[in-house]
Amino acid sequence: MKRIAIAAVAALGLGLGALPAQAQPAGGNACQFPTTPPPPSGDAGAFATYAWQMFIALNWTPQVGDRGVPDCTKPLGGSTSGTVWQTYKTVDEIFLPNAQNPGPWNSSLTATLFKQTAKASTAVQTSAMGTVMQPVGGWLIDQAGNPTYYEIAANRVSYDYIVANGFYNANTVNAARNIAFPEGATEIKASWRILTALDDTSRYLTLAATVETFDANGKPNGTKAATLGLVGLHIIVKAKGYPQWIWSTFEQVDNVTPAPNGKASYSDPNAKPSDVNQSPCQVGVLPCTPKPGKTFQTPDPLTRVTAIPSAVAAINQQIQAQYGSTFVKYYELVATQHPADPGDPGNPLGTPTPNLLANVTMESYLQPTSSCMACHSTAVSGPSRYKSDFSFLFIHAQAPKSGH
Amino acid sequence: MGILNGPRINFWGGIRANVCTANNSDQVGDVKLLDLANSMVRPGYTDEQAIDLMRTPTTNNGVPYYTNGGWNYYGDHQVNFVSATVSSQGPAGGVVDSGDLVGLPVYLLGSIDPVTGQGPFFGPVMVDLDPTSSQATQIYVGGLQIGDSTAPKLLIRHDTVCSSQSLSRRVLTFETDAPGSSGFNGTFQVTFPKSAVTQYDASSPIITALMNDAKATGIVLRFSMFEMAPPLTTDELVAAYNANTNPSNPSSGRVVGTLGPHYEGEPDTCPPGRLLSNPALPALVPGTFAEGYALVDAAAARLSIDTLNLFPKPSFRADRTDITSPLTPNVDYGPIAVGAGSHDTPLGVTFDARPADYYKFGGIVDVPLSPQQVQLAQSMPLVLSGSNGGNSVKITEQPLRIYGDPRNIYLDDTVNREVVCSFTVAYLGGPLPVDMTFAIISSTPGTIADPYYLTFPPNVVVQKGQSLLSFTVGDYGSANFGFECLTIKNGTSSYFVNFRKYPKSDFGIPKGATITWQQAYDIALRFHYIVFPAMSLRIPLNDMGTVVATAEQFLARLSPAYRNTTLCMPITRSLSPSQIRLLDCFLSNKPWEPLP
Repeated sequence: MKRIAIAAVAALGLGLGALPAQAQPAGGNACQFPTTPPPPSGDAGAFATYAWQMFIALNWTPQVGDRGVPDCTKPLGGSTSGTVWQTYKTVDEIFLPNAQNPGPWNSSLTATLFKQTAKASTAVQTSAMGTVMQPVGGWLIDQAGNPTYYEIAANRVSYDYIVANGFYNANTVNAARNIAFPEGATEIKASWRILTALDDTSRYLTLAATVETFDANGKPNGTKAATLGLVGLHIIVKAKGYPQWIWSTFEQVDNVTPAPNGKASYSDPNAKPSDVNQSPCQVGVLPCTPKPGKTFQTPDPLTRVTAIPSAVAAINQQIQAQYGSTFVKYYELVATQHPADPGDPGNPLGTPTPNLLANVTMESYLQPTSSCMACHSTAVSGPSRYKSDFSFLFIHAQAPKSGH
Repeated sequence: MGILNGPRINFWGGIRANVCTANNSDQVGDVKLLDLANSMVRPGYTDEQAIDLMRTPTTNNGVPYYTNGGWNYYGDHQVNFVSATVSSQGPAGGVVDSGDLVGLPVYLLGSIDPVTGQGPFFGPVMVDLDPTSSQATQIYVGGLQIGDSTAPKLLIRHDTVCSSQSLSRRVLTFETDAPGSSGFNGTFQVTFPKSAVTQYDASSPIITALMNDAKATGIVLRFSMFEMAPPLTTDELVAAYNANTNPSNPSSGRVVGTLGPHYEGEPDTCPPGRLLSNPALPALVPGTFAEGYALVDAAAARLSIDTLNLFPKPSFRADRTDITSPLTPNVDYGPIAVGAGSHDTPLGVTFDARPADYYKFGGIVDVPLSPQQVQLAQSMPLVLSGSNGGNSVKITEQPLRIYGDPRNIYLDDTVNREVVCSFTVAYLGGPLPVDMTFAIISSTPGTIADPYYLTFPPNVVVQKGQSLLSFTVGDYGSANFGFECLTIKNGTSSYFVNFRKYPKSDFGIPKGATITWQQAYDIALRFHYIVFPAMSLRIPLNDMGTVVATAEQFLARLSPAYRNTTLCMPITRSLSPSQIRLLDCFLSNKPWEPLP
């Protein structure tokens, strides 16, 4: 059934310029998610290599019938075959209405995938939490005037932990007093933009989807079919020895100036400096309402505030060359943030290194103060004051209907 | 007397104090941007302009010297030991560099969340009561741990605060391109009650000795930090700002410390003992010098001296980023002779100051005395002297010592803004031999003018045979606020206490009005958004959506339950009660009710 599901995804994508995954030599370890992170003293290059190992493994062709597992007999995944991380459970699959038990990781595979396929819109549409909304600053409109869509997913370790503890139920998670994900827990956050006829889809991991559309004030007013291109991917993993998790983020290379394709998706060379990297929301108004003179279709011009470190850029070039016939060529690691002192009880946050890390498509408006670890250290389980182990997943938990 | 005559556990290692430096002056570059006593940013600059001003490179005497926001604009105020390990243990007079704890890590801990019991999620924090002052700072602490977290040998959970006692010269040659702290030390003492020991290894002889000391009411930790300098030079920091990597640049250096018993009647945050000072090593308070503490234990026939800050290092470490390698030696003055009296009557004993490895023993020396030597040492001021190869030192005792726990007091935390301040006034470690009068003098602890809001007696007389000096300090009711310092003084002996009084205001907002985001931001949050950007790494203070979404955490950490923990918001304790009330009304959607 999975094959059918994937075929359906591919069918939606074909004809819209989706790039079939290029054949890569199968085997080796590239398809396997790395289990051993660098030591805390590792430099930016060591963590960049680790991040790329994760990225490649997560973008491998997924195993049929076993979500989250690569098929190492197949080549690197892609727009046609799907990828391992795309078979992770999304928050919509984990946190069901009425706090229903989402079931075992694979038992509802067919239904979940069909949901994902048939209702691709639900995976990327505005939900109660707003998947067109960034954590800070509102939505992000690209230079074509289209919104950026976000999705969050978790791997099996995370999922099994959530299900085993009933944390898919908001009431249960709110009462939790010691949320602590097991080692190996991994979360993904992806950002997508709508590819237009002016875009070269071969430069993206693409997804055929039905997306929600919005009026000028950002209110949903329908759906439409669209080809989405991946523009950002956060990978966070609670690796052995890193209770503060390890935080990596990737972007599509054409996001901002200087874009290799010459027309950055989110940059406007003519934008007024006072408009760059600025939230579209009116100050002091909730929910986010466009500033005067702007609408939900007004592009939000961006630049990258903090350059990709040179050591990371060097690794990027190596990997891009190594995977030059695939979509990977058009992605770059921004950086990996890790705790340099992960086991120091006197320094619980562990000295986030580097101090800042931002994906321009996900932390667009707070780049100068964006720290994954520091921000996620504030995560709590619902409205309680109890910490939720750096994870904001539980924001999506739903309560059972009253009386249940 | 605590670490001087009880069982000791000594340690050394590195330390980082990641204190934000942006609030060290009202003046930011050429602009009087801040109103620190009010915790407000003065009008005229947008947020972006103010932040740019903070990040702008500056000079000191024409030489490039970090930025207008100091060397650590992005500091988050956490303090943590770095690779600190136990180096020796044993009873006074019998400390050895071997034992069950030697080699184990030592951690200073942050607070457990007082409501949830979770954590710690944040480390100890260093906070200046008066950020413009260089004469004293504070560290809020939540506990201590020896050994790894899976099986601690000693685990203490206790929220407390300590203040620096002696900020004096420790390194003769300062590090270039670094703040003056590179040449100074700061001494802190924390006392944990025995009841705060949540876990200990009863098979450890030294820990058992501490826990079973019948006279002990708690465990005292005394540590000194020195050779403190930020790892990034001016060029490196400016380059990093230009690249927008915005690193923190914490003062980083060495820590040497000792745990011992705390006995009834001793101060919690101030080392007891007779005061020795080295006039060659000036302290930041004019007229005072590097301090050491001595105790003559007649029963044990032993003189114990905390010499940690009495002997200098000739130079700063070669690699400013290396804070964990063994320390380079102190100046070697040869055998140190102990004398007594104004004529320096030799006691006939010397000790080895161990210039090469003093730090492994907490800088404490134990000198056996004969009964005659005990009698001499008890009756006359001590003098320590040494000379070796052109280096000489003469350390003398300040016979009259004034000391005590009051050091940094937030007046608004006291009942009716009134507090009784009590000190020990000791002469050669004992009661006063004659009646003495102590003057109490108001001044400013830093660079902001003395606001004169305190009421206190101008003089206090302590009778012969007494050691307690006590007086009441209060707010006489003026609208004045800010930072005020009281110095207790007799001759050349002195001690000071800093006070902060917050302003009270209704901010011109009519009672019953709904507090808007703009009011909440401009009045309470904007100062912290601009001056402490590390706060916005966690919660962007300029984003209404995030602030509202985290209202529960805000309200909790603004509440009194968190006030004396390392989790207090803001860490800098720079929100006045009126500002807190304003935020409370905004976050709770309550009509504005100014403080009465």
